[in-house]
Amino acid sequence: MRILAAVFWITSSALAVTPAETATLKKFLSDYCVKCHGAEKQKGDIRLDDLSGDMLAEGTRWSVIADQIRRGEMPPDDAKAQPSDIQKKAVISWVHAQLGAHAQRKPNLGNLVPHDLLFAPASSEKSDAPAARLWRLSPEAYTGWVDQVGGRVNGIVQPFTANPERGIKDFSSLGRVDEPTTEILLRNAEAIVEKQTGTRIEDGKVIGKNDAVREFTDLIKSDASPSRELLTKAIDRQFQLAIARKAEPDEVQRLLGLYEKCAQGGDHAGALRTVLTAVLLRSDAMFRAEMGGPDGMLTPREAAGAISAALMHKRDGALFNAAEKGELTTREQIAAHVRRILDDPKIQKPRLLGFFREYFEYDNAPDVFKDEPKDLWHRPEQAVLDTDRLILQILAEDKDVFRTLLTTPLTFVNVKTGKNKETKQEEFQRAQVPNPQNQKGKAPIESLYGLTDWTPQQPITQSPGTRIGILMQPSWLVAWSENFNNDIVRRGRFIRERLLGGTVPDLPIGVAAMIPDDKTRTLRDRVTNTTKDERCWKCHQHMDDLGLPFEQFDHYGRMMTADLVLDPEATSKNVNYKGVPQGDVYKPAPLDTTGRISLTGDPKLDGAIKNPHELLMRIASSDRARQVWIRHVFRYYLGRNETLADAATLQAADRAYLQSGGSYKALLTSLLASDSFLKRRVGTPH
Amino acid sequence: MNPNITRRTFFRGATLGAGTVLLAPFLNQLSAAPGSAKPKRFVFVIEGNGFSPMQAQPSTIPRAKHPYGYTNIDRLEDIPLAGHELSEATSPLKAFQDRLTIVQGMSGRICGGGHSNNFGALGAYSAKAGAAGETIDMALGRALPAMFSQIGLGISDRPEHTVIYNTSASGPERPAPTRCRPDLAYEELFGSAAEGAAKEKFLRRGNLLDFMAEDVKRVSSRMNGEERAKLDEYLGAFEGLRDRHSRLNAIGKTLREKGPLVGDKYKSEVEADRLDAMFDIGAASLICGLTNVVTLASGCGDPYFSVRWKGLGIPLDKHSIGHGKGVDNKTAEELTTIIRRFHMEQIARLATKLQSVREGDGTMLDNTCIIYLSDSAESHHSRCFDWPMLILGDLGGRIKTRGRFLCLPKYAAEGHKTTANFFLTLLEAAGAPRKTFGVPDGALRDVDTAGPISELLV
Repeated sequence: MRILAAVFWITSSALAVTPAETATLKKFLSDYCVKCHGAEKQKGDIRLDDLSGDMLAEGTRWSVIADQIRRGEMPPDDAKAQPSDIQKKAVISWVHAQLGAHAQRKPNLGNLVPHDLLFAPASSEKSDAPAARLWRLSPEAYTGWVDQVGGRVNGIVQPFTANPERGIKDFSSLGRVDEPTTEILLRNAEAIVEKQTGTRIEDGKVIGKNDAVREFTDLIKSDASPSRELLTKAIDRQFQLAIARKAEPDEVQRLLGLYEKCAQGGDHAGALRTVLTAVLLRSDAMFRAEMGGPDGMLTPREAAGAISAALMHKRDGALFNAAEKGELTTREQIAAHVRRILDDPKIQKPRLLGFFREYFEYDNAPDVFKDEPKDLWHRPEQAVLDTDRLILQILAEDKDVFRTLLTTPLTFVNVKTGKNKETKQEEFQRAQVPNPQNQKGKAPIESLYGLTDWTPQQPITQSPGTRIGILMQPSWLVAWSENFNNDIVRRGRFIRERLLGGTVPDLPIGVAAMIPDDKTRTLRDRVTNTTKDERCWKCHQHMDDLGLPFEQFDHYGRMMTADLVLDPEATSKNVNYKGVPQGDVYKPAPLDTTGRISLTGDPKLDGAIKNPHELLMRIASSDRARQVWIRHVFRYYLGRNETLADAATLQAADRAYLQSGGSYKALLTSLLASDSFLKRRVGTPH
Repeated sequence: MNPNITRRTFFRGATLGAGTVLLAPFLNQLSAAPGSAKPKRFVFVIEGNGFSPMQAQPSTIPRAKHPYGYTNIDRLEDIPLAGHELSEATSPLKAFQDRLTIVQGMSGRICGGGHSNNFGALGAYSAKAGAAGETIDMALGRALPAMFSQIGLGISDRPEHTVIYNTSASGPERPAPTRCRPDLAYEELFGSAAEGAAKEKFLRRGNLLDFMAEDVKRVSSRMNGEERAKLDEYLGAFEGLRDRHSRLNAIGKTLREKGPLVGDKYKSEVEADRLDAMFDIGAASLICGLTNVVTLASGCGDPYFSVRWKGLGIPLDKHSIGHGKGVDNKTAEELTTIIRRFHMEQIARLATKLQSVREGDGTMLDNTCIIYLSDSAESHHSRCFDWPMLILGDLGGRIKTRGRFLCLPKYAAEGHKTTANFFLTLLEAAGAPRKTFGVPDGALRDVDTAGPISELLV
C-alpha cells in the first residue's frame, strides 16, 4: 500500500523513531484514518497518507490528529473499525513525546502542547527535568557583556542577529556561532583588548589610559618579560571580567603556553594581548551553560547567570557574590534574589518590558509602511513609547496585571520625561510638538485619544466605549495593520494564538490568498466574502471573527463611527479646473464591529460579541486566556516552549499569580524558582 | 585520510547525515589532475521585491496577454536574441546579448510567494519553512569545492546588519550567511594580504586560532547531542578560520595583486555603494580562486527587503514602490526600472572583469554562469506562477545561453517547468546531476516536471 511507503518518511531532523513505533503508527493510520483521508478519498479535504514523522514540518497536523483522537472526534462513531484505548494512547503519547522534544525548540510552536492537558491536575504529578543546555548570548546580552568587560569600546560590531520571525526572539535552541560570526567575535575581542591595554605617554613615561585595566597596562608598560605571577594575575582578572570567575590552574597553564609561543619573537605586549583575547573568545563567555550539578540543580554560578540573563542584559554582581559564598543552592535563596532584583528600582531590568514588546509586538508599528495621511500627524514611534510607558505603569502597580493589560482605560498620550527648567524637577512633557507649517491641516497625535489639547496630567482615563487595553493602543493597531488597511486576519491570529492558545496552520501551498481590491466595499465585506469559501474557512474560522471587532478603528488607529467606502460618482467628479482627477472620495457605510469567539474549548469564552470591548473584557476574565499568557511568559524567560513535563511549574505559576492578586513579580518569582528553570536532567553528559 | 580534509569538514558532513555525499566530490576534485577540466563557476545575483515578466521581456518580442502578466503560451518559444532589443530595464546587458538567455515561464508555486520566498527561492521549497534544505548555490558550491565552498555577499535594508541569514542554506536548519558589510567581508577574505607586513601579528593570529580550536574542543568533547553541535560549530569556525588563515597566507601574493581596491564605499551607509563594493569583492573572490560560487543577495528575504535606494536618488523604500507608490514625478514602474538597471550595470561590470582575465584559451567569463532572479519571483507580492531569470555565460559551453529568449509553456501546460527543473539543469551542467531538487509542486502531478530543462543543456 502506498501509505506504508509514504508515512514516516523520517527526515534527518526528526527524532529517532523505533521500528516498533513506526509499525504501530503505520498500522493505526492505515487501519483507522487513510480509508477516508488517503490518496483516493480525502474527506473534508484532509489527506494523511503523505504524512511524515518530521515534527518541525508536520507538528500542526500531528497535533490535530492527536487532539481529535483524544477528544473522541476521530475516528467518527459510525466508523466500522475503532481503535482500542491502548492503541489510541500509544499514538497520542508518541505525538506528545515528539512534539515535546521538537516543538520546544522553535518559537511559535508552543501551542501545539494541548492546553487542557498542561493545566490538568494529573499532569502536575509528572516530572521530568529538562536536558542540560547551552544558551548563546542574545544580541542585547552581547552588548551588555562587552560593556561589562571593556566599557564603551569603539568599533564593536554586533555579531549576532536576532531571530527575525515574529514573536519571542531568543530561544536557547536558536543561537549559533558560525564562521563569519566568529570572525566578527575575534575582531571585537581584539578591539576590547586594545582598549583594556591602552597606554599613553605622559612626561616621557608610558602610563595606562584611564579606562584601561591596570593589571594589564602594568605589564604592557615594561619592556621586560613579565613574571609568571603577574601574568597569572592578569589572566585571572580577564576571567573575572569575561566569565565572573577565577581561572583554574590548568587553564592558566594552557594560556601561559600560548603566551610563550606568541612571545618568541620578543613582542611581550603582543603576546599578552593574544592571551587576553583568547579568554574573551572562550565558549563559556559566548554560551551560558545550564548543566546542573550532581543533584540536578543548576550550580550556584549557573543559577546566578541564569537569573541575571532572565531579567537583564548584564551579570548581577550580587548574584555572583552570593554564588561565590556558596549560596543559591535552595529555591528560597534564589526566590529571595529574584525578589530583590525585581524590587530594586536602581537595577535596570530591560527584559521586563522586553517580554511585553515581544508578546504584543506593538513595537513593530514603525515598520509598517504607510502613506502619511493628509489629516493626521502619524507618529508610530511615539505611539510605541507611550505604550511602553503604560505597560511599565501597569507593572509598577502590579495588580491584576493580565486583566489590566487588556482592559485598562488608562493611556499615556505623547509623553516624554524632562526636567522643568524652572523647578528643576522631572515632569511629563509633550514629546512630539507639531510644527504648524509642516503639519498644516493635520490633527495632532492627541486627537487619536480624543483630546483637543495635550495635558501633563498623565496617564489619562479614556471615556467608556472608546479605548481599553494594549490591543486598542494606536501602536498595537498600527503594528497589526497592513500598508493600506487593517489586518483582520493577522489580528485574529494574534488573539487565537497568544490569548486563546490555539493554533492556525500556515497558508497551504497552492493557495493564493487575495482579498479583492474593490474599495466600494468595506474591508469586512471583502474579507469575509473571500474567506467564507469552504477551503479557506477551515483555517480562517480560527482567525477572522476574532479580528473583525477591531474594524472599530482605521489602520492608523483612529476610532471610527462609520466605515468608509469609495464613492465612484463623487470620485469621478473630483477633478480640478483642468479636469485632472484629485483623488478618491469616500462615503460613510454602516460600521459593523461584531465578531465571535469560537472553538476555544471553553464554553464561558465562546459566543457572539458586539465590539472589541466586549471581546477583550470576556478574554480578560478567562482562566484559559490568563494561563495562555502565562505560557508565553514561561517561553520568554525560559527560552523554550513548555512541554507536559512543565505542567507543575505552570500550574504553580498560575496559583502564585492568583494568590498574589495578579502580581507579575509573584508570577516571575514562581517561574524563576521553579524546577523547570532550576533543574536539569541528571546524567546529561557534559 | 587526506590531510586537506580537516576534522571540521568531516564533522560537518557527519552532522548533515550525509558525510560521504559531502566528501565524495571534494575527493574527486583532489584526485583530478590540475588543468584536466575547465573550471566551472556560478554567480547568483538575487534581488528582492520581484522581477516582472514585462521587464524581462525584450521590447521587440511580443508577449501573449494575461490578466496578471503571467506567461500565457501553450508551446515553448525559443527565439534568437540577435536583432532584438532588450527591455529598458535589462538593456545595460546589451554588450553581452550574445551570451545571454532570458528565460520566462518557469514557476515556483511550491515556494508559496509573498514578499519574499526566502530560502525557498534558491531551495525550491516553502518560503515559510525557514532554511528547510540545501539551496542551489550551496549545492553547486559543494560540487565545486574551493577554499570557500560559497561566498554569500549582499545588502540588507539596514546598514547596521553585518551578517544576515536570508537566502542560502547548506541543509535543513543550516542557513549560510550573507555578509552585509563590505569592509568586514574584505577583512575576512583579503585581510591576510593587507596584514602581510606585520608577520608577527599574523603568526600570533594563527597561534590564537590554534589555541581556540583546542580550547573549544576540550569543552565540546564532554557534551553530546544538540548542545555539542552548538560547540562543534564554534569549534569548526575556529578550525575553518585557522585553515583558511594558512591557505590565505600561502596565496598572499595573489590576493595583493588581484584583490579589490578598498575605498570609501566599503564603509558607506549608502546601499548602492555597499552593493557596488560587494560586486567588487565577489569578482575578486572568483578571480583569486577563493571560491567557485558567489551569491550576491540584494535586499532579499523577509524582513530585509525594503531597501531605500538613496544612492540612486530614490527617497522611497522598495516596499512602498512595490505597493505602487511613486515619488518625484516618477511612477513605481519607472523607479523599479532605475533600480533594475543598476543591478544590470553591476552584472555587466562583473562580466567585464571576468572577461578581462585570461583562462586557458579563453577568459574566466567563458567558464562562468551568472544567474539573475528575484527571491520574490515575478512581483512584489509574488504568487510564483512565473519566475523570470537571466542567464549570462555558458559555463564553458555546457549551458545553451548564447543569445536566446526562451519562454516555456505556461503553468500546468504540457512541457511546463519549475525552478527546481532549472536548478537540476545547473547541477547537471556542473557535473553533479541529481534526480530531484527541493520539493515537487503537487499540483503539477499531470505534467512531467522531472529532470533538467533539456532545452538549456548542450
